[in-house]
Amino acid sequence: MTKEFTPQDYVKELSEDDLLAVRDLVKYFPIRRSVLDVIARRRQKFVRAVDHISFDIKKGVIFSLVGESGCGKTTTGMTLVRLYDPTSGHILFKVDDETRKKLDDISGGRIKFYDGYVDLAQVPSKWMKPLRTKLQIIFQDPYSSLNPAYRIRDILMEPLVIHGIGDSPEERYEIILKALEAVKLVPAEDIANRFPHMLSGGQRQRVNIAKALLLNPSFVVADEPIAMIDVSLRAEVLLSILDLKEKFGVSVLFITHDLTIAYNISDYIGVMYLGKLVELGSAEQIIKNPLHPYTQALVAAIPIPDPNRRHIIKDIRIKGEITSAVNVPPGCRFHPRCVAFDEHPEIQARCKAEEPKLIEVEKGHYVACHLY
Amino acid sequence: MGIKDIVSEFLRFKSGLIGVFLLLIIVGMAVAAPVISDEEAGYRWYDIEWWTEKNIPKGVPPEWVGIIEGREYASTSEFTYRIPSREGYRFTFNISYDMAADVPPSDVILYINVSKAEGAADEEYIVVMNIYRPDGTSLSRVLDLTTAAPLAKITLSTDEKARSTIITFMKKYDPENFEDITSRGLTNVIDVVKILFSEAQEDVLLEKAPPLKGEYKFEITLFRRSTNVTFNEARLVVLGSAYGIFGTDSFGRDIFVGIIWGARIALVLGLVVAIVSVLIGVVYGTVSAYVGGWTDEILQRIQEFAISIPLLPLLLILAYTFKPTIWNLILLLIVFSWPGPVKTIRSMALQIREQLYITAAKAVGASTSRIVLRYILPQILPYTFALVAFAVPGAILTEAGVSFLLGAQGTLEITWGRILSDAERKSAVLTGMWWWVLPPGFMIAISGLAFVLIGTALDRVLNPRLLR
Repeated sequence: MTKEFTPQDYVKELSEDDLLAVRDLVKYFPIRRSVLDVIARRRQKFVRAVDHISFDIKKGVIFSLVGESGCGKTTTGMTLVRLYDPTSGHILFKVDDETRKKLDDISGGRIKFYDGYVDLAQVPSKWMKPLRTKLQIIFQDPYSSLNPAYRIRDILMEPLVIHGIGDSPEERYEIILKALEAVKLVPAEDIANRFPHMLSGGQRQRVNIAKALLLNPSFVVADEPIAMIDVSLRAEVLLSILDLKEKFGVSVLFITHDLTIAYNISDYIGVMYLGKLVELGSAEQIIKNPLHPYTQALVAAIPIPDPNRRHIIKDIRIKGEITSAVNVPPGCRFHPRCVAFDEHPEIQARCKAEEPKLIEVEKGHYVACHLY
Repeated sequence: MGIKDIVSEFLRFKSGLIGVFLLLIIVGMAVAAPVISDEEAGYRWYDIEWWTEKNIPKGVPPEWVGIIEGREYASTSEFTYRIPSREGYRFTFNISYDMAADVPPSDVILYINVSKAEGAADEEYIVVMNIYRPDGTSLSRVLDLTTAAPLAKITLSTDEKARSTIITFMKKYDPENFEDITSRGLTNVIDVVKILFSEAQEDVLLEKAPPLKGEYKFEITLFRRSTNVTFNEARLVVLGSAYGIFGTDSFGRDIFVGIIWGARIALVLGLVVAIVSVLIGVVYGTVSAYVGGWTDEILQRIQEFAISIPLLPLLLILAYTFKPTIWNLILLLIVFSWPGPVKTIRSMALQIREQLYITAAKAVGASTSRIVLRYILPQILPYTFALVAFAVPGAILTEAGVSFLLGAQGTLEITWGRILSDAERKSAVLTGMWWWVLPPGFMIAISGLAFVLIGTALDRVLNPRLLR
């Protein structure tokens, strides 16, 4: 890359209905060095959890981020809502006039806006508060994400109190009941007075969704929200997440390792491998026409619920385990596990030396592989 | 866990209930101290003069000892004789005392109240006392003294004339021991009041003779030189040989009074030191854990330095230097005991800090102070009750230790440690005055036990991993 892009340049490429644009987002975690390491002046090592990824999320869509454990999906989600500070890159986020005014007030006009977008990566933590209402996150673990010491009512009261929503406790309580009803937790009054341990995993997760809804966000990160929930209760949570999009017009970044769910729930899918996006497209494109050898392996691994096929052992076209994000292989980071790499000796040298870029193969379908 | 749950869980532990019961007794003592004892006693403890005037027998055991031993202890009795106003210079009258106890009275005090004409304040008068014993023997001129005091107070056990008269009287019944005692110069040690009320027989000077029961007649004769002196009243006080619930010390102070007033100091000191130092420790540990990084490192090193200072020697020197009131001592104890709970609290806060709901709170925009105050401290707070309970005995024991070692240089309030210190200085253990040593010792132990029992029960309730 010869030219250093600025947020201004990126904004020009965005269309009217883009809510969030991630550009070259990087999140490295430094590995703690011992005193001996410092004395020996060994190089600081990093876990390269998220390594230059870019994608757009439109208004009112569900975008799924798919990948194995440890590929950086969760880190991406946490960085987008600024629970982590990005190492570099830009997160352009469209804000309404009201939020913009609040941001101006809190920062004294020092936060820059680019045609209605704010670069989340550049907002200091102390000025994030107005944006917190617009960015919400639902965590994977519904058991430890609710404070066990408080009743549901008090847990839900917190965001309202922090952001000064509602004038009296009674009014806030009304808002809380409405939010609980919105995620079909009825009777809301009864649920509100319970402690978290008195609810099922699915109910807890819907409390978390209600909590995210309370602040009227425009973007919600749902970090594997059904991974820790009983299979029988998953549907209710998924329906609530679909409601986020359909009833409340919220854009959702849905993080999952389950391609089936991603296909069923989302409009767009991004496939991540070791901190990189390897393939990006509509849900239809990714599932029906996977291009990247990694995506192909993932799609091939989807179980087919047909008893007659239970004896067929599928040929999953992938080898080994995911490598550590500390010692990332040079070139294409997937090449040590890539079956296509073995089958195409003519591109092996390129795979080992050169990192593939995302290229548009068909309209809206991007892949990062030297095969294309 | 809500307060209600904690209380109902706590009630399941018998040991905790015993602790609460013991604590209530001590609290009851402390609260009732001004009601059940003279309010002045609270700040007059070290005013020996004040205690002497109260006519309390010195160094006598508790009254209930008689019931256990099956012996009757003499109780204090007072006889007043109003001297009729008349002409003449010589006034003679008798006061009878019926000695029925197995343990004779500990002392006899005679008060003579006179009024004097103007300008005659220095005029002297003479007091003479003869004693007629029930066995027919008599001692003449047990007292024979000249005084000018408007209120003469003559104590038999300390009056030189009385001592020598009584010892001389008994000499003929116990000549061998008399020789022995006088040759060793030990006549001052003899309890003359005790032998006055004993059978006149062998070994009487060794205080080994049985008591002589019956009617004692004290014949008092007063002489005046002129009518400038008017005799009003003579009062004979026979001090008993047992007193109160816990007996008296050798200064004639009621040990029970010391115990109940000491309970106030022990409770106030123990609780204030424990609560304040635990609160400091909790805030310190929480902040250290939540802020983390270099702040944590530095705060932890400071704490480690503070906790490794040897407490008692330093406390003794400081308490001696700063002329200690109890508040100075409390301050010093707090300064040295806050590091105690820091490590425990820090590790708890570190654990809570990593909980997902803390991250969730950040995601909705909660500030650092809000997270510490609303999310971390409320989780730690119940456990601090247990920490406070455990910190109280330490504070009480340390105070007792310091007061014991400093003695008269120590605090000016009544503390159990100070009572023990006085007992030690007066060799209470060697002279068999167990009632001077055991009550304060037990109180220190019981108050410590009460808080430990409560603390253990609370710990089990609030730290579910210990629940069995």
